[in-house]
Amino acid sequence: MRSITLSQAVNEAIAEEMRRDETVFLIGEDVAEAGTPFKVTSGLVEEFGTGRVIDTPIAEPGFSGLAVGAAMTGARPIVDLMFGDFLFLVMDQLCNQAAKAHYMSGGKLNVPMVLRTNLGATRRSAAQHSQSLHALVAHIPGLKVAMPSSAYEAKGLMKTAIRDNNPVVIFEDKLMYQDKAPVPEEEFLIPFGEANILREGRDVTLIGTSSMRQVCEAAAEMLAGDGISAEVIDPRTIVPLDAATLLESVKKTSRAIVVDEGHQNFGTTAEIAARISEKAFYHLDAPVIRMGAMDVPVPFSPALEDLTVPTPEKVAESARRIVAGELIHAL
Amino acid sequence: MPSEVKMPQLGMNQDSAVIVSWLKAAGEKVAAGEAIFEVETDKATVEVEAAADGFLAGIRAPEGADVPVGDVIAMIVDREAEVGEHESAATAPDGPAEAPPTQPAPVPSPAPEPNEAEVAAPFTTVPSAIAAGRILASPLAKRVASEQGIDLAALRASGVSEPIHAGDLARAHAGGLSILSARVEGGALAALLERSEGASRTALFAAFAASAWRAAVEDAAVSIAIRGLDGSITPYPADAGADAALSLIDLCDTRLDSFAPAGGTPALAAAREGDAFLLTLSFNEDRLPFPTAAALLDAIAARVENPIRQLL
Amino acid sequence: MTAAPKQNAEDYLRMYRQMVKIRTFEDNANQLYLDAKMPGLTHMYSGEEAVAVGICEALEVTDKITSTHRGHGHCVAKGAAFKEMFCELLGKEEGYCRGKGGSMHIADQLNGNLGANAIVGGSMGIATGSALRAKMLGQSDVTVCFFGDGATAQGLMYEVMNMAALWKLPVIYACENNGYSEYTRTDEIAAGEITARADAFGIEAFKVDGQDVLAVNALTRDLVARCRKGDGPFFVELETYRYHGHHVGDISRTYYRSKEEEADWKANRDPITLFADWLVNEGVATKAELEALSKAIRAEAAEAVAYALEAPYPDGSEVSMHVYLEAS
Repeated sequence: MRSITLSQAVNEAIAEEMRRDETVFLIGEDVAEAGTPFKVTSGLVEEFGTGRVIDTPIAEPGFSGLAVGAAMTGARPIVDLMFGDFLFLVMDQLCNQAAKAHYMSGGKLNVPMVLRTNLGATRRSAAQHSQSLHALVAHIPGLKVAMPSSAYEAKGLMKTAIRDNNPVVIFEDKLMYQDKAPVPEEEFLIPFGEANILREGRDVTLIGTSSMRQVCEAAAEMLAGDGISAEVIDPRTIVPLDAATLLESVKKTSRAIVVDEGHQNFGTTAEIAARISEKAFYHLDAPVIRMGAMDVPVPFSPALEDLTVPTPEKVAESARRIVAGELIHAL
Repeated sequence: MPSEVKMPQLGMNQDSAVIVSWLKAAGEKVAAGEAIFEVETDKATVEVEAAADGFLAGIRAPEGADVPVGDVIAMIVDREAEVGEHESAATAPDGPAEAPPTQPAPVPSPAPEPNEAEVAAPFTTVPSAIAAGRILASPLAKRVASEQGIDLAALRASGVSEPIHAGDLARAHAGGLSILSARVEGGALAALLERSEGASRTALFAAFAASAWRAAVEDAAVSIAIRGLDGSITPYPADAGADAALSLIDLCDTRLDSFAPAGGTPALAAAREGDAFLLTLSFNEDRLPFPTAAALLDAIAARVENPIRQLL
Repeated sequence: MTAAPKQNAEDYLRMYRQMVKIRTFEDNANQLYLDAKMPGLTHMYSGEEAVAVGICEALEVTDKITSTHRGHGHCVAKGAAFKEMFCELLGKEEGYCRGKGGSMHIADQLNGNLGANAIVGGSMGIATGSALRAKMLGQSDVTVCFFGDGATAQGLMYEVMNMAALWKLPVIYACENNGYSEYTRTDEIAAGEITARADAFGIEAFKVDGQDVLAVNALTRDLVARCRKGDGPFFVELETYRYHGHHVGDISRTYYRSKEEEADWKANRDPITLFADWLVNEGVATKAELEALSKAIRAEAAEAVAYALEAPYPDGSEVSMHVYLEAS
């Protein structure tokens, strides 16, 4: 199978869906000729024209609001939000308008829009360009949240997102755009709400979203050397969340560590850990551990920034300690 | 200006501390720098000094109280006349302060004196969960123990430290139960029982087991738990208080020939096999090493075979 | 009242009927609130009828509008029925939104009403997006964005007007300037001229007397036609007045608005009275006919209110429906 970069995978997904459905369009800053600063949408304007690949002024509330209205009246916009940190700018349009229109109208209005943005630190972009804010939108009923962990998921989840009739926020890890993975040439979609078990194990379940999947996979390798068999699972979407797969795994291993790049407090790890604790309580031989990013704004200095995110070493160490029966406070 | 006496932060990880003793009483004169109470930290008992001259007043926490760091526990007032403006609790509590962690029986908190109750008492001692009899074990361990009939309290008593994990249960059965058995000629014992009216075979077995234990395991008073077929547990000797070192199950009046219970305590089952007795000792080698177990069963068997010699 | 080209008498009477329907609806809604029969709060449109009717009478069913928190007038004007509207205000199952939106989120999607919005200025993006969709998909409908003078303080307005102007979108921004932004006079919250904001983006802006339904209607018909030809966007500032407080509970309001001023507008600038006078003068209808019309509407409203009060609430199981549109 051919291997393509995450960037190419997203590009292919969008192009295929735009060919398939003429109401799909792309809107955002520098999405046309520039192809976005990450070059993900390069080539699309040449194929689909400026009528469907629309460059906007720097007006995030404005163009996301436009997307809501366009989606409500028959089009299917993909909004490109250049950095996940700008989510704060679009919260009213996304969370008060898009998320609630279907409910508030008693099911009569729909908002089939996709908001495409990114997450991930360690790029030395500092506090306002490095945040992983998916927990904020996962908290809002009416939104769906997808977190592709490689080029394969990026393509499959993007196509599903575009075809979904609900507002979907999809977060790509901005440090992974050049990372390659095998991606089938034939069309495929990855359904929402289906977690992926990447590695089977018996002693501990490692749950990793987005690029934390690779962190967990690396940790599992390390643990194997210590005679600890770790199961690694990628949830792929946090709303809807495939809790059943996670629970089945934890019931088998009796231990779980949830790894995510959002801040540890009040975030994704807390929600997943709570669900596991509630539903797999009598199967737990250790408390469920959260490993998120440190609860500090992302610092600029490389010496400091790298301390704030979960690493394979930290995950493996936490796993060793809970297998040994210790109570720990991660990070 | 009255100044507040607060529980200081003494240890890095301590967010509360126990008042060991008040060195001054309410109304007494104190000088800045003078020790007024003692506090227990992780490491040692520490004296806490007054920060100002004056008279100690408004003592809110008695000796033995576990007080959060930063809480106000007393006042130092400028003039003796002001002492009465601040209510004091008794500095020594009524009854036992708090139970030491190893005691299994729960300790009731002392009834507060009237003036103690008036002053808001946020510092009641919290009896430790262990003292109250709760066992700390993971949810999985509790469930498995419950399903397999493993007595967690006995496990803890046998030395497994809390919190108990599923692996501890498995280790408690490391490789499963070990079984030793001995077939002993029963003539002598049968004769003895016939001659002694009212003698109980089971009680004799218990006596043999206790004596054999002293000979083979350790020479100290030992308690045997006689498990009746009706589910009862009778201690031997009758006044034995300590945890049983050995269970005894007398199957001689049944058609059964052995019983090896799960759980940590070694168990001796006695059954009839024709004119002989079949003695079975089941044990975990973690807790009763094989050589000891072998010596024990051998000593029991010897006594059953030759009871007269045992009595001498 | 300006002298307008004589349309069909039927058109005029329909306009009149729509305005009376709005006024009657609001009177009933207000009474429901005062009688403590309506949950939550609502915001009365009374006094502004000519704005909603004048504009909506120039629109087709396929044209879209977005509304505000003061949205009953737009809703009626765009074709909604009393029964479903009262049901919605009372949270009943037969409401336009199955009771889930209430007064501030009432939407009537089949008639092109994309919804009232509780966020001031919150629907400006939606309206502009609807226009973007029309242009992109080659459809000929026009979107009217209703908003108040207060919304001109919202940043979103400038972002979307900028894009509408850049891309020449078929949207009409209709600013209902009723002189007050909640409890504060407009001149204390909006610097400069409201139409100047549109001028800044090169958007053609118009000012019109919002109490003159014919003037509003004539202007709108012209702008809608131009929009369909691709000349949009446009901006209209309509000078109008709301008789009630900001919301139904805003009863003692002399601290921000004098009774004399309110009385003056009611006596001398009431849009329904003015239009009635015009209709009678032009011989389109007699006073008696108009009174009979109003009476019939009042009866219709009373019936709808009675119906809505007795109508069932949605079943409890609906609370978790419609969060997501499930794939079919």
